[in-house]
Amino acid sequence: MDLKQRNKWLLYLNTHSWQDHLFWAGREIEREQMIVDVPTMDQIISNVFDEMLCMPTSPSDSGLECSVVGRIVASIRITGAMEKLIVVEAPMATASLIGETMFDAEHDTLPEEEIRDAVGEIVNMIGGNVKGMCEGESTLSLPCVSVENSELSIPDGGEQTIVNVAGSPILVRWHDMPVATV
Amino acid sequence: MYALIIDDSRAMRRILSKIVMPLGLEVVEAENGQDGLDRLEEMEPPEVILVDWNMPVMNGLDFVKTVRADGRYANQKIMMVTTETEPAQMVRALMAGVDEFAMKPFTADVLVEKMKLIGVRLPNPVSSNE
Amino acid sequence: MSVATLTPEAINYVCTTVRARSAIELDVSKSYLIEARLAPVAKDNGFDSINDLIQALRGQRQLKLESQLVEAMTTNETSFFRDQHPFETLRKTLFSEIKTRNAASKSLNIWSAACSTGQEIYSIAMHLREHFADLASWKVQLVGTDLSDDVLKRAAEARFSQIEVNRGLPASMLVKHFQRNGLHWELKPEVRNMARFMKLNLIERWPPLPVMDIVFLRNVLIYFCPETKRAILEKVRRVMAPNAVLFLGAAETTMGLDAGFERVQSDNSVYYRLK
Ligand SMILES: C[S@@+](CC[C@H](N)C(=O)[O-])C[C@H]1O[C@@H](n2cnc3c(N)ncnc32)[C@H](O)[C@@H]1O
Repeated sequence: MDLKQRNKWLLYLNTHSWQDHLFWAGREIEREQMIVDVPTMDQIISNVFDEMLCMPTSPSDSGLECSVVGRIVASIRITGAMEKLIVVEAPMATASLIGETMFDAEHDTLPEEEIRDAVGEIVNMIGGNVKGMCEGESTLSLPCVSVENSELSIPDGGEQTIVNVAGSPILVRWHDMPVATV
Repeated sequence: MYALIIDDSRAMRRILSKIVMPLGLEVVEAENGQDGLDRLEEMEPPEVILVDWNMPVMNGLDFVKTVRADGRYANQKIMMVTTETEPAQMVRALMAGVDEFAMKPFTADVLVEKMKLIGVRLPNPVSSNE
Repeated sequence: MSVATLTPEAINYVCTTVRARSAIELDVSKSYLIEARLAPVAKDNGFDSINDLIQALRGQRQLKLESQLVEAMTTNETSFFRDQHPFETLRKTLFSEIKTRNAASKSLNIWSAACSTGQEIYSIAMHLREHFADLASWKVQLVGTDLSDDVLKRAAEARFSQIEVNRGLPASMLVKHFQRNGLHWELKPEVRNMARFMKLNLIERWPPLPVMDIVFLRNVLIYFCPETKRAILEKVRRVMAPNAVLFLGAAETTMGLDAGFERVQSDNSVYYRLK
């Protein structure tokens, strides 16, 4: 787009229907307790893995067996009109698989740093899509990723779903109110 | 000819590179808006810039505003590739001067079609439909 | 559900039925595709395997189930502004040409035959709103037709996923013509209401159609044998106004099939005009 054209755009924008959207953006609105149910989250997860990464997902009926050593925990916070904490918990095996797919790397060659980066980007995409469901203005934090060796303990009051990604499980949980950081 | 890919996630830069390189563009990476500006200073203008929004140090929106304020880049093709998906955010990005906007998660087709849409010259333009 | 591979008789039954009902050509080389597409149909209808489903169909003709099988074998791949060039040609030359030619009647009829989930006809609708001045005072009919009830229902709903609106649709048009609803993007009513949809099987008797100024018949003839292509093109010709134009898919042509069309090359796009 050249400069002239862009200026035309701006003029257009200032006078046309996009103002609807800007109106929403600038508006002080009540906190929306947007309901994100499990099917919605499963759909978001499927968009990330099935569509983008070509890693087939399927519902998991078993729990997440990654209690003690080396679990990647990636979280992201939405603040503003929507207040949510979204957390992806992935056993190292699943996290490696995801990392290897994203980096197009050979099995067992990816350093932990890259694996963390990859899972961070996953929670970023999931968080962005959840945030997008709410019309009011919210901001997304940068993802925060750590390796946890403690027992998997899930705070009360949230929702969760466990999905198999290319056969390995991940857990995604989300909490309406801000809870203590993981 | 190269694409400048600006994203704080190495995994995402890798995914974008894997889509762009087979089209015949080389890739230069930067990890935030400021880093992107530094790359631009060092090099010829790229064929296209793919830039994320949420990044530390300097975010993508500020990067776009800075680039557009610089007369040298008036015709630079810029596409935002981001997990921001609200219409209001898209409008903001368009007003700041991005040529296109792709939402994450995306597929390779999405990026290729959008690059063609804004006239990015691709040395190996594979057909993206079927 | 058992994954026993299909028997040759079953494959044969599927190919014959699909050819008879839709003209789509399948053969043994597509058996993996047949299995992938029919597994959900079998499951949804309570059969243990695809072979069981086919056994039941062969035992007694069940039209509804048979239609489900045929529809499952159609490829519905589509996207907004697919291939770009035809839409450029509409904007650059054809819209203004038609404005002059139809100035007296102030009517414009456009048909997306084999419209799938509607992206093609809605791309035209958005394009008209942006580039066809005086649209409001014209009588515009946009018609989308397809063989499959399922895609027609989705087309009429005009609700698209994020991936669908990401593909081919400029962001500027997305924010202007759609509103977000949860994970989906819905076309605003003023665009959605411009198009209507109906069922039309290209190889069966057609319902009455308006006389068309522009026909999009893209990415469907490729599935048919030459005789079927010829028969369809001839019928299409009969619903076209004098000077009307036809767009085919990038891999399709009237050449060697129908001498009633003249090939026109304009910029990067090719269309066919009635001789
Ligand atoms: C690949 S889609 C093409 C969609 C759109 N025209 C495009 O180019 O993007 C093909 C469509 O043809 C439809 N179709 C296949 N056989 C048909 C027939 N005999 N009559 C009508 N539609 C048919 C399918 O249901 C499917 O939706």
